[in-house]
Amino acid sequence: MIQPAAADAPAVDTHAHIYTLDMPMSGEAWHKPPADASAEQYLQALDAHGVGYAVMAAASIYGDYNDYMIDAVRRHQRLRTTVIVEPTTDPYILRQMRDDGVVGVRLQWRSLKTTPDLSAPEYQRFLRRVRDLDWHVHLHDEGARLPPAIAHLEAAGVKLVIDHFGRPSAHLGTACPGFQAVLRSVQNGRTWVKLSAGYRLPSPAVAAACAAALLEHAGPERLLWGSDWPFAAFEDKVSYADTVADLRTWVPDAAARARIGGETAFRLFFT
Amino acid sequence: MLNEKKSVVDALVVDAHAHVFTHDMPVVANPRHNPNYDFTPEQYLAIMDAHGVQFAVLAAGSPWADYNDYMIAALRKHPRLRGTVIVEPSAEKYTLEAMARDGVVGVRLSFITMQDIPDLSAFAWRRFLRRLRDLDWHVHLHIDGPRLPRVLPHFEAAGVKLVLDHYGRPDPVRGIQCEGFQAMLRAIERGRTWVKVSAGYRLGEERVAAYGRELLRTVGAERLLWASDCPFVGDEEATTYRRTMETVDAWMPDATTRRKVFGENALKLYFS
Repeated sequence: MIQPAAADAPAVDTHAHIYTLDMPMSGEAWHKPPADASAEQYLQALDAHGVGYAVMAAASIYGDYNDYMIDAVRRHQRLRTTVIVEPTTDPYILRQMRDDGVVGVRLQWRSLKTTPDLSAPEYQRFLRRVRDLDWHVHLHDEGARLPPAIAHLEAAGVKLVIDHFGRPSAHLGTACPGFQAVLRSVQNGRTWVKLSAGYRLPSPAVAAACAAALLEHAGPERLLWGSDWPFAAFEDKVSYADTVADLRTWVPDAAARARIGGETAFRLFFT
Repeated sequence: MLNEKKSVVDALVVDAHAHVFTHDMPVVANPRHNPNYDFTPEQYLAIMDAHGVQFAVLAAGSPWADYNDYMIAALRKHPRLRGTVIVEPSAEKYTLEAMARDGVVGVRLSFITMQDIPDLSAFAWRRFLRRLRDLDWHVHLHIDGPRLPRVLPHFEAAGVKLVLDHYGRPDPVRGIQCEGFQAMLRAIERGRTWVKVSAGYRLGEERVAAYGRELLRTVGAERLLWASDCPFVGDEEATTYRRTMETVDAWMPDATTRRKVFGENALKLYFS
């Protein structure tokens, strides 16, 4: 059933994945999707909910096969994407990616046992290239592991976007050291946080508490909204309309919500 | 003299496999061949013209590994030519796309020179084969027939087009009964595999006539591609360009089959 578009739908969805089942999956894939989530299906979901623009997130299950997303951003002006690449990727390749509509690199660390050393020379060089391109680093990791990574990324001077509230732990919630590090980081002016994938957080209450803390410390100019479509591993439990409704719950003030869903994301990803 | 050398085929002719090189190109350690002479695109085009051949596909040669540069320069200059390259499986989408714009249509895997064939089920290889499929390229595989059944399922699972060199190089003793040859026939029937009827001078002209007739009998002419393998590296003196055409013409049953094998099939595969 197609749900009616919300009158105050966000203008930009800053987090979604597209893929087809026949794409090559990495050996370490944590999830095997049940169905295609094609660019065309995603655009239909956006249209059905009155969302004009979107930023796709590279998904770790396809490793650095970014090709499908790159083809999509080449075809559709309303889309941008992040990619997963080796830190040694040639700067000429990165520049061509930027020209095609790539806006950042994803460090998808949540499924890694040990995370790369960002102080190593090849990562220092890579982060400098990311900064030179005016890209952002799009970090997804456990809250407990965020503080040292945030410190390295801040030192490198790159723009930083934290996924899914910073993934606070169940028992600590907003007191989680990772979430606290996120709150401190947004004050530096180069860090943004996605209010997204609330259903992946320990509870709706934790999500609401985190959203309130972020609104207080960061304000709408540092917050983004993302649907996380097609809700990997929650395909049957979450709908696009639910994720739009979540934003209304987390940010009751319409003016703040309009900035989060629109201007903040536009400035960061589309200008 | 030139007239005498004109094509044995009175139709469009495409040579699906030839090499160009100069003697001073960088060569890998222990090359399979190491020619001490030049064979330039201009020399080759003159031979094509002398034999009524309109189009051709240049094959990357294992002695020069991924130094594809000389060949790519030829493709840029001559719209009658296409080529296959040797690249690492880590090759970037952007690099492959730039090559495609220059006339590259496939990647050559010279497994025949490798003692150990890479693990094609590894992510790096699956990603690579997917990129080739995205580009509508083909895998240009040179492998000894007996090892073909082991790798064939990987290429078929990837959905990429596959072109086998030199009749699939069946085991010379078992010939058409060889498991590799039989696996090749089944793959051709599934529709995404082609085979070059070429290098008779290496495999034995009588043998290849038997291979060719068996191919026609079992899978028909649609997936067969005539190729010269010019300049016949290692056998330059004994082989002539015209002879490579006659070797295949010898088992052509009719004009329609001849037109397909000598030109139409290759034109569709490499030039459209």
